[in-house]
Amino acid sequence: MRKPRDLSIKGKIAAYIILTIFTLIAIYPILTVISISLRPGDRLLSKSLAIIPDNATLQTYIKLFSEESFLLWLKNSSIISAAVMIVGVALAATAGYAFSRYKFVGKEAMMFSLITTQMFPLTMLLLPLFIMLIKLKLYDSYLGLIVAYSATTLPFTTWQMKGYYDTIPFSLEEAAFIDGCSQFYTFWRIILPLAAPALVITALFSFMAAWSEYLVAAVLIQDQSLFTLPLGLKTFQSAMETSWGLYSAGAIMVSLPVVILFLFLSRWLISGLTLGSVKG
Amino acid sequence: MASVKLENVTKIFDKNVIAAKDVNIDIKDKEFMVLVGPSGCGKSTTLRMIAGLEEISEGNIYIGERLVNDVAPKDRDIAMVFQNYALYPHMTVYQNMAFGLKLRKFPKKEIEQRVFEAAEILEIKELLERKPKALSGGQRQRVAVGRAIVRKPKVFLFDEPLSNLDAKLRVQMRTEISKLHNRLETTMIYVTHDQMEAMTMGDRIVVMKDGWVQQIDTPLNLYNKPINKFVAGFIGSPAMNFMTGTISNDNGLIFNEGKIQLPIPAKFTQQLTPFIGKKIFFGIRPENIYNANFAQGIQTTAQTKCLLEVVEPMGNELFLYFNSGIHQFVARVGTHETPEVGQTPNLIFNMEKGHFFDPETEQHLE
Repeated sequence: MRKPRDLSIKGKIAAYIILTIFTLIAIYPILTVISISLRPGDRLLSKSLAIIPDNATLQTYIKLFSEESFLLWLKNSSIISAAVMIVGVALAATAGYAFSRYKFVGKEAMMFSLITTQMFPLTMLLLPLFIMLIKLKLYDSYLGLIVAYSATTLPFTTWQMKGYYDTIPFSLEEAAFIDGCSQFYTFWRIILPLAAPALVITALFSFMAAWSEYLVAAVLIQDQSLFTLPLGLKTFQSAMETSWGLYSAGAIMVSLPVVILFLFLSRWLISGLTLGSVKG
Repeated sequence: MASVKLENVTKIFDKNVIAAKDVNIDIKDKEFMVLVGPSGCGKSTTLRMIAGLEEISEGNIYIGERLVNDVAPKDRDIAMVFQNYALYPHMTVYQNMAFGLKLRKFPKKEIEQRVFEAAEILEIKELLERKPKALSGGQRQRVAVGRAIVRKPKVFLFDEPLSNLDAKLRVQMRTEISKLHNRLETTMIYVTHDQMEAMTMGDRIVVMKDGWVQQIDTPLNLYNKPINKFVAGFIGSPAMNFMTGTISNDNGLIFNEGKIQLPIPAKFTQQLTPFIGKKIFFGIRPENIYNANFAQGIQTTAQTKCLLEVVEPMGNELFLYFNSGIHQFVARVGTHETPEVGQTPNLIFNMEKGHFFDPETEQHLE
């Protein structure tokens, strides 16, 4: 395969131009949102191209935290997302291990049905989900939303974990059995540490699925005190006017935790953890 | 320290694949027993059943006096070295070796002492703080052995531990494992597909094929008194030459290969008489075929001319590949002979050292 440094000068220039264009396309909206959030008043449009406008102010941010219910939404979203992440990691890690290592009746059918759920668009599941949660009396509650989000993320994360476990050699577990480990301790002490990259992906995926989700939350949550961040942000928008400044400041604040979480977890996102264990 | 006994042990996978059938092996205390055979012969499955990693379909396994059919691997007091080493990649060499002892709640001092002792024996003391990925293949192999010996188990199990090493290292580790056996005086069961490893290391060898035990004996007995054609062909390198032919009687028995006729010594008369006029397998080892010019001492009339097709110089000896027109066969000769490809030297077959096998059962005719 050709490596980037093998490119000629012309090729390099072309590559840089193309990459720069795509980078600009990717960051333009974010820069715009930052810019809007720093403008005084609620000006969506501006003649200036400056990212940090003249007379920039943090007024919208202060207002966001002091006058609006942002902290409440942040709390709601944090609780729900953290719960979905913990449930997701715990269940996907164990279910994926069972699918990877054990033979049991209905294994193929179960795996197939998990993947089948991914074929339906979420909007199609909304109505049955709504009816089900009402009957379970979980409508308008943290638990209802946690169940809904977990149910929609688990099929993917379980498959994902199974796929990763499949790459870990059996002989490591067998060595652990002979060394004196129980089944669970082998999983806990040998397999889980080696599956760290997959666990990180599962954690991030579950967290983000709950953190930035709007549609399901809008259907399942009516109580304003239970609003998550996406629902809360939407309240800045009304029929007559939209508080673009608040909206933008909120959007920036919402994306920050995800970035921080990603940076924190990314140190485990390394390949080659099982290197050296077996002759491959 | 313990004996290991397998009684009619059978393993059937998925209800119809027979991996091992009616295996009976009696391994003595402190014995070095080698299980050898081609791939798929059931030798690894047998070892894994002893380890408890594979359930037994039928039969009994005893370690010492204890029936271990339903005993978990961790409670069998065994240690195993895997073909692919199976080191825990997230632990250092020290942690890898100490893991089993820690699980068994040994005091920290004793763990330390045992790990250092093992590291000393295996000369890996300076590697203790490294992770497996920073080790070479040979070093990983040593760590895997070290992880087994710190436990001081009753029985050591080796599952083709050297097959991933290069040829030179393999020979070196081979002698080291033999030394280790002498030093530890523990029962060892060693699986390999390499008959050379089996011959050089084992006190006794179990030859297996298609799930059945063919023969259990000392290396030299396997070589000199193979029980059937398979064992005869499997043990020895280059392998024994086999020819099919018929027996005729013309003032003594004669083996007629089609192109070559070889008079059969009187000692075989009794067992071969029933086969007169019938097909039979004749086997002879490469070192029992000589160039007539260099073998004055041998008294035999079994002489014939054959076309030399390939010469393989090994340094200390030559392998000469001949073609009779029907069969190919190899002779192992000294380097003082300098034959050339295409010649048809006069060959002597030392028929006293020949083997005859039943054409149907392939059993050795004694």
